[in-house]
Amino acid sequence: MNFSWTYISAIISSTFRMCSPILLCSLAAAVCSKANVFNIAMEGCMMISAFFAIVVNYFTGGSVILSVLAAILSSMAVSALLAYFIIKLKASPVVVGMAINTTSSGLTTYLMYVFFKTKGLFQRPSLVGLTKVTPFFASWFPELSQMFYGLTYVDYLSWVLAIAVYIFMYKTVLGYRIRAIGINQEAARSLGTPVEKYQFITMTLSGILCGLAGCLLSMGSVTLFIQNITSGKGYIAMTANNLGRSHPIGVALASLFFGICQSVGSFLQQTSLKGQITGAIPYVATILASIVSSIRTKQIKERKIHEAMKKTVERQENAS
Amino acid sequence: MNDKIKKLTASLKPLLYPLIAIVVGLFAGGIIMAITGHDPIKGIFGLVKGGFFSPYSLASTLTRGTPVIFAALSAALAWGSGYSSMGAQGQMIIGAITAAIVAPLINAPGWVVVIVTLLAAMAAGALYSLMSAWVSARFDAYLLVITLMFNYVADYFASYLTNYVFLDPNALDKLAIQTQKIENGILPRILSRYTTHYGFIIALVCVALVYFIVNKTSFGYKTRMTGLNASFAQYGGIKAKRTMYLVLLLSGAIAGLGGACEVLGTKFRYVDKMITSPGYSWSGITASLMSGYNILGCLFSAIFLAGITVGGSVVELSMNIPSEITAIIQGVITMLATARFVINWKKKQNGKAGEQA
Amino acid sequence: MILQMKDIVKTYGNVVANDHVSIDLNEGEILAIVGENGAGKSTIMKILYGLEKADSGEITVWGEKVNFRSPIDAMKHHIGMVQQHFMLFGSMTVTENIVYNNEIAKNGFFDRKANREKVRQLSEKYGLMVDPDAIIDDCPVGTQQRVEILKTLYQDASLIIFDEPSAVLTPNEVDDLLRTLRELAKAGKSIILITHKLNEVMAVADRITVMRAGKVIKTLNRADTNTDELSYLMIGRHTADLQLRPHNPGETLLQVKDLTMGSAAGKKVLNGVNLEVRAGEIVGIAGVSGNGQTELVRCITGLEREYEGSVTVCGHDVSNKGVDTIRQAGLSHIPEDRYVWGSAREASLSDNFLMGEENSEKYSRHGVLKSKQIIEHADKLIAEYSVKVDNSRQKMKELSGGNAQKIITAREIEREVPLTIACEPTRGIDIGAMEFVHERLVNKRDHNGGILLVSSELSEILKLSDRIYVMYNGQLNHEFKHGEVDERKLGKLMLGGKADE
Repeated sequence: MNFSWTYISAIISSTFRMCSPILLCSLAAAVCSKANVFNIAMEGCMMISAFFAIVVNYFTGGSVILSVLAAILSSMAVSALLAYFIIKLKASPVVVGMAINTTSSGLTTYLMYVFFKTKGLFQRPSLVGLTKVTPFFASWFPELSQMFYGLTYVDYLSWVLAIAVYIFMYKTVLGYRIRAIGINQEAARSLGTPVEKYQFITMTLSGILCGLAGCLLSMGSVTLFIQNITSGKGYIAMTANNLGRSHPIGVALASLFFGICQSVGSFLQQTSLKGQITGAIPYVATILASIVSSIRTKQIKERKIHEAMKKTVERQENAS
Repeated sequence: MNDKIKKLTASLKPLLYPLIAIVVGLFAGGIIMAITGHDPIKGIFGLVKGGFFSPYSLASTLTRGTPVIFAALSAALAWGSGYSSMGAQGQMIIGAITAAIVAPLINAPGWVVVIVTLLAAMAAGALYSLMSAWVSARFDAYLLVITLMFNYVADYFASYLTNYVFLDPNALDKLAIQTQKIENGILPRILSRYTTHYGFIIALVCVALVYFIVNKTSFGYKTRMTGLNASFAQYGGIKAKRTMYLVLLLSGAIAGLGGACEVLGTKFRYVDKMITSPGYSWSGITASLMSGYNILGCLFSAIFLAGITVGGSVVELSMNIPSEITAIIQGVITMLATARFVINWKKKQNGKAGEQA
Repeated sequence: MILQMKDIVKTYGNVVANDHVSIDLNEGEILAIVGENGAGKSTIMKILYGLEKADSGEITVWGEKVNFRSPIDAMKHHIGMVQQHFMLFGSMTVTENIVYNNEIAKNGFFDRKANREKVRQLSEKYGLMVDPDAIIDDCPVGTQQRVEILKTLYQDASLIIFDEPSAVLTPNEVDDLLRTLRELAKAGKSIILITHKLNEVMAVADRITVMRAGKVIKTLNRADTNTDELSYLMIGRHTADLQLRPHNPGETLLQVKDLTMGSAAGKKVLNGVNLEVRAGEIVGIAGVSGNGQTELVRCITGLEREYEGSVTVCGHDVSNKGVDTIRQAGLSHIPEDRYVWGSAREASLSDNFLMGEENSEKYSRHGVLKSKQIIEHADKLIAEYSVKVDNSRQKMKELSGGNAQKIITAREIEREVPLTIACEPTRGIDIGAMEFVHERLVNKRDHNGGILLVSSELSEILKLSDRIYVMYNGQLNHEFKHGEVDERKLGKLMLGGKADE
């Protein structure tokens, strides 16, 4: 193995590429949990949108814009369906979410056969991927441009969106109302907020994020559709959301961590380590991350209790 | 007489929702067939016919249904006690690979090999389930995600073992990644003409056993109450952690057993992805959800789902309808399975309003 | 006259909560609505605030006939309500809570500065001091209530309903609250105060409407009445005193020593509680909810295990032990919330009856349940307590609240253990059933059982208890024998007053 600069910058660029779909999905999860709806269907939304991106791409002869649009719309449609079941029909979010995740696998395979007469992998030279961009400053140093190799504009967009979601949730009136629903749904209702409407809209809009994640999978570093293309990234995003405590910035950092794990995993594949072991790395990392996150939560909680105790003692001392 | 009818309708009532879900699910499948240019009536009929309407297809359905029944029991135990475990798949994989490794090692009469192998697989499945339960409970992590991650890990782990440690170099098909064939200690067929093997009988015994445990024992009572209202269980002195570990242990053991039966009864070896690709585990979870964790309901639901899966492969061959239509129908059924909560929820709301008095 | 409610009728199933209730209110006036729990005073206010719909009757606000479908409608008509359970966003600031839904925004962005300024002005105008930037969760209850009041003022309410506002407050905070009420009235706000605390009523109300069993009994001017008359009107008949047999306590069944427990906020929820229940007596604990009764019961029953001090049940030291150990030591427990703790709604009645005894020899052998005995036991209790159901296979959720309470009460009273902790054993059940439950409790006492009764119904405590403790601020302060104390004196002590006042 050769730890040259080229090697490291390749890992960095691959980290960014691996990170962005997870980041987008975990932002979707974060927005939903802020609005007090439990969304575990990112996996399904992503898969459906990845598929429809390719379908539209193929039948429009490579229109990237229309493909992205198709991805976003299909993902929003799935999210809206999920929202309808959870919010309107009060069905169990876990069950419906899992149903959507597994159905989308069956549905995409079914449709893949209907459209393309194949079941495993669909790839054609006529398919056009997302435009790859290198930021202007990278051209000043050739080393930097390697770090940004193969990144599409949606990859950059994912980071812009992380900031945008932060501003939306914490600085705008609408975001503040949505967060309020998450804190105390009943209080929000008592003050005249149409809680269900807000939740429905939040969930549907979160579909946009999953849709973008989906096109990154099928039109990002490679342009193709393959059965179960998401391979658990939606679930990893759920963990990233927990790890980042549903705060956009925290979620972004957690996604970066999983991006690193995936990228390291795929790079180790070139070494003597067996594919089965490197393939398991992201999932093992997710389990370990959950453990670490829980220990940290406990520490924070204890510190808070400790501070509260101290405050009370001080107050009592002042009083006497 | 009237009383008897009342009792009968009451006992049939739980069947109503699954039946509606099935009808709507098939209907939705029909719509998708129609959209994609297939004759929906012929297609749906083909699904059902292909799964049930001949001794041969029925036998295939029961063979296919055997692992689904195990998965359904495993899920019903866990979900019915309030633990959303998706771990059946990983536990089945671990059980299956354990069976494939253990069976060839034992030099004993066939029935001894079978028993030892099954026990080993059960232990392995239970242990694997306990591991995910421990991570979830000890570190307060969401069991659903943890079990899913354990599933991926199990799959990679078994794949690694098959590829590099236990690969059968003499396999006829050089491309197939599989372990050595088990010659001694397989589960024989019940009737030599049909594929259904004694694993199905074991599954039936398990259904009876789990039914008894859930409905007739103190332990089952504890798990049911924990599932229905964990606070109530705690108030009554039921130890939550212990119940959870025991339930998930049992659930894992059953899943492991299911994996082993699949190895000893149909494949006679571990083939890479043999548990993952057919989606046994998800069918099982669907079956348990659509029957509302009712154990007998699980049995019938599992066989039904297996039937339309078998039917799915038939219509793929005969009508060129992709067999994934079954997965879609199954998904719709699952989504509707929770629609029953709608009705309950509405009642709850009324109840609450009335209580303010 | 700014409000007129005429002939309001509201029924829930068979229960008539409001029976032709009429209420009116003048501008700048404080009207107190008093009555016992279940007299229908909360219901009539929920109807006014749009939380419930009346079956019949007329509401006129500021001369306009109205028909509110939700609190939003009420708010539009300048009616606000400070509910007993606060409706606040705990992790948000005071400002964010007050301005919710009417925020000052700049291009869709939350204008922190302008909103804070607005809240500051409002709080100064009415003398309701709050720190606009404080996080709600860090504020004491009194402040949280001020935030609730400011919320209604921010929404421009001219008629403010207070539902049992003092129930959660400390005595100092109650004084502040009463002062606030007077100032609000002076500022031209009209106020309706729902309460059952007569001293507060006498301190602030201009007029008083007394309700009992869903009806308005009388409306009087404060100047023309006194607490004795009011309490007579509230309770109506003096309930037939249950004849308690002479108090002959036997061996100690429950001994609590120096029980101390802290909360996450660093406050001592229980502070050195000492308590004893002996065989053949009913010991009542009176107190305003939120003074530690819930926590005390949780510690005794093992639902809470992190505390200092000791608990002994029937001679077994069960300090810091789990629920099952304590239950086996000889304790049964009627929990305060019938659906959260007391039952599983989706389970059958017989399953609900079995809870806590699934391992006992009576109902199981080698871990296998004895279905026949379980059903028989369930049927027997259903018949004895005249629960209105078809059979014991029915699910709990099919029962009305009162019948559900009967199931739980029956299960715990009839358990063959010496000690019963009864929390609100008659909440929401009709008078006849209430008398029956009281009888059973006394019967258990007469058969040498011990009962710890925690109830918000003072009349229940006074009627049944051989001894009464008063719980205030995490401590048991006073102890009385049956007949030594009356409702008024207890009420005062519950609020932290002195016994000899």
